Amino acid sequence: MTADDGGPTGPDFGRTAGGGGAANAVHEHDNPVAGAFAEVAPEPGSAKPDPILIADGVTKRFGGLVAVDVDHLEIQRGAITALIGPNGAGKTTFFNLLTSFDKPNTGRVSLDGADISGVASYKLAKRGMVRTFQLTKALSRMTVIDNMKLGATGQVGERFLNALLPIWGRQEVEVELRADALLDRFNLTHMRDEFAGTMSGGQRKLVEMARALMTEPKLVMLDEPMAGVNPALTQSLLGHVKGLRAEGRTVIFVEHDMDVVRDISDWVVVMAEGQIIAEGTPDDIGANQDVIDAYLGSHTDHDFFDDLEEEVDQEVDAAAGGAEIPHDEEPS
Amino acid sequence: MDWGFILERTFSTMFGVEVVVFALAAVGLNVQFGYAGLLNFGQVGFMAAGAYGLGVSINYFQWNFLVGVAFGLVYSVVLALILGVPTLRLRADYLAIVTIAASETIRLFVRWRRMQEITGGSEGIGEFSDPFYDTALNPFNVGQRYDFGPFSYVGRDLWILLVGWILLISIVLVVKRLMGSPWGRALKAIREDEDAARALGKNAYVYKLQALALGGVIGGLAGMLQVVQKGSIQPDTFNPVITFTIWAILILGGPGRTWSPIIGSMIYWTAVSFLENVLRGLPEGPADTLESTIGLSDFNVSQVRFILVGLGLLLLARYRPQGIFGSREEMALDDR
Repeated sequence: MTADDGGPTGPDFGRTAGGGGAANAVHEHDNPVAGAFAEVAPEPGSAKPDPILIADGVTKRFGGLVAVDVDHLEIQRGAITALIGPNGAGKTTFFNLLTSFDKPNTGRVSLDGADISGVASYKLAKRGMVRTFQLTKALSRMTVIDNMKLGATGQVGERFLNALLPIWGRQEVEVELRADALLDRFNLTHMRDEFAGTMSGGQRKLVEMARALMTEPKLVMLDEPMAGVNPALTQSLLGHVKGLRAEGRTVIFVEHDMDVVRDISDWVVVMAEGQIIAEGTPDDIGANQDVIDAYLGSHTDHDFFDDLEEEVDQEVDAAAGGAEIPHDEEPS
Repeated sequence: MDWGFILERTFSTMFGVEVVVFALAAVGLNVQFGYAGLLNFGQVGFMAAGAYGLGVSINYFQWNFLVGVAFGLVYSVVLALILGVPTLRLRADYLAIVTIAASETIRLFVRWRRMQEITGGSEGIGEFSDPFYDTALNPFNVGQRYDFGPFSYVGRDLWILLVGWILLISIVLVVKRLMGSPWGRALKAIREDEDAARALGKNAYVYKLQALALGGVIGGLAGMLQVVQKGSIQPDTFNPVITFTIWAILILGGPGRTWSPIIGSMIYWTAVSFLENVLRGLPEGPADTLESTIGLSDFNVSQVRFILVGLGLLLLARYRPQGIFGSREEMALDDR
């Protein structure tokens, strides 16, 4: 089988991790971390039983603006953690800081107990941490299969002098087999030899996720994996994200769609104005007044976050006795 | 008009040393721009580094010819490092600015009066190419004339053409192999999106530096070939026009394609030669008309032919922007 099976497995969830298998359908009930958060306090900075990623005192300033100021955050191994917050909350900047795509002004980040602050971004893939981007980065003028093969780490033939020698052929075959297996799993086999640039937005998201899996990551960080994806494909993407958890991988993702967040996340971290203002299970967060205030405060006259709005509406309805929040219409 | 003569001249240009030199320089640029997406606007600087590395080693230091070649290559790599180390972490346009400035700096430096003793100043270097022609490997008699049907070459030219074409084809094959390897794949990924490549564990900076150096070394070889053919090094031949001609050739052939630099160079120089020969061979009537209307005369034919080639390139950019080998579909995907 593929090396996926030997993949990262948290000690707590070893018994079920990997049970999903590469190509198997994944169902809701095989959540390997169900119950892991029972003892965790739903408050910012709370300690997790088995954290894979810990951020401490991470701040980033752009001139006078404090874009990110995260005191303490632990990410539970093997779980799906959602990072939400209104536009401009600093989610993507925080993502960039965690993955070394940007340098924090202060703070430390550790992965699996090892300090990774200041480690170059390209070295993190080998350490089992991989990310995707908000604006999908399909490598347009490369074929889908080349996109996939690129993802494999530790390729001998990627060294300049080795490239000329006949020593990477065998590894190339292995990499290609693994890439084809993943393409099959993500239902992209028919696009295999097409340029990635010819794909739809949703397919690009799928390729980006599949390509990230070629690095055999312990921790997958998805920046808005559902943005611009049609509803049908969203379901498929959600299934794949759950599939990552079933394999024992840890997932952190930034998302705006509250239905998605409620559907797949085990734990939700809410950011606003650079800080973490709340943590908890999706149910905790839905009932959290700080979160509602944060969203309301920033978007009363926009119609962003439609889905959160519904939820907020209900809260407001309850408080104001059925009055509608004026969206785009002029209040009469 | 003597069409036989025009065609004979045109065909001998098609396989001439100029085609080889510019094709080789364009192969280097293809590595940098076509595959790695680096904007090197100073390829002539690498040619100068190669040429002067060779010339100074032989003429001033009195070293062996092959040592001179080695130094030419070393200088090209050093130039790539000087240009690349500070700029390749920055946005792509920084390299463009630095390379165009550096290539002019090199030309002005070697023709500087203070450098006269070493580089020959504005007069350049004259005596260094003999070992290339006198070598026992040369199967041709340097001074003898060899006839191939309508074509006739002296042994000296045949030898450099033989070496040039073997060098060019071997380097194209090496580049082809490199670009088909995982190394080449990572390079193309960096061209498409550096951040994506980094997220997948590729050290984009080192790859770009390697591509710049490899393309520079190939440019250095082109420079050496050029001056060995001429038998002299003139600083002012290494002017920015050369760089832009190399760009035109690469775009003409289609960047990122294996054989496009060779075909691009052949088409470019064939067109130039054909136009020149036609313009010079015009019968009295049309020649007089052109002279009275656009002022064409024997003195400005060489300018007019480049104007016409430029017009051709404009039409190419309009109707076939992807070049001869490029694919329009692929080009339309360029949505970085």
